[in-house]
Amino acid sequence: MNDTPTPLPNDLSGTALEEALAQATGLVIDPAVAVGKPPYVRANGVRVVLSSRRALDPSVALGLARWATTRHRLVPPTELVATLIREAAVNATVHGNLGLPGLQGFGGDLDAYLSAMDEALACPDRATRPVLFAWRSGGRLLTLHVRDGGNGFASPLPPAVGPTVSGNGLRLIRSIADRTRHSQGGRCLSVGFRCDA
Amino acid sequence: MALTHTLTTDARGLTVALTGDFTFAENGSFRRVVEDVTAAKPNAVFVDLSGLRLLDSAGLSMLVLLRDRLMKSGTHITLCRPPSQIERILEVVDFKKLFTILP
Repeated sequence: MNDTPTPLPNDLSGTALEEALAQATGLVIDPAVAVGKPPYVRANGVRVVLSSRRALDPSVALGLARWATTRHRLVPPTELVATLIREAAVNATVHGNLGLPGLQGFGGDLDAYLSAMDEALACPDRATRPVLFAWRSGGRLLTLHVRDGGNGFASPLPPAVGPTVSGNGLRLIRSIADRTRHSQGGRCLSVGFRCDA
Repeated sequence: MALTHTLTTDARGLTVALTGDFTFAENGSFRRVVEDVTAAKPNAVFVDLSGLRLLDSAGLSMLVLLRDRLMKSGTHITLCRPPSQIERILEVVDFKKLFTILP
């Protein structure tokens, strides 16, 4: 079981903010890749806004997962929470910011899929779109919001079906979180975890 | 951690041992795995997962892709020795419906 969280002041900025964020999540946010509003770390939440490339860095998912599992009594272990965050980051980046379908959308043609990915990441307009990660604590629910800067989806949550070449990310997310919801036209995924603190 | 693979052949077929992180960032690396495995034209393929640290949905998709390619030539694929954290993910996505999975 985790220790009781230590309260943090709400008005951190500059070096104090960077140190608190690094201490809380292990994340070192390079200003060159952090975009939008400055990050914050508080007793009841953390928020960082990153470029698409940085959002895909596995250390981001691990840092955010560690913050959640060490400060709140989540049932899933850190590695599973990190897996969920990685999936959310890939969805936000690939389907949201880069506007690409999954591998199935390319008929299972891996070469075509990877070429489209390279092309999209080379396009500054799409590659530099931000991804926001924010943990918010309320009562016995800890919620992670992951928001992209893409065009959204008409039907972001298709029903889960059997194992296929695509759709496994959402299946993983749904199985790890207690609640899953899309909002803002499909641009924001919110996943909730029941917790004791 | 980069995804690496080694191939060994014995009487039962071709074994592909994967090591490292089998994630979105390693899609390109797995393209070489698919090329090497299909070029060997094996009768049966065993994918040894014991050296994997991470597996995500991109890795799962790649495994389905490899299975689909091999099935076209009548080759059976088996997933072997998943570490506990990988085994949990395979269970979540119900991969037993697609693959034979050996401990």
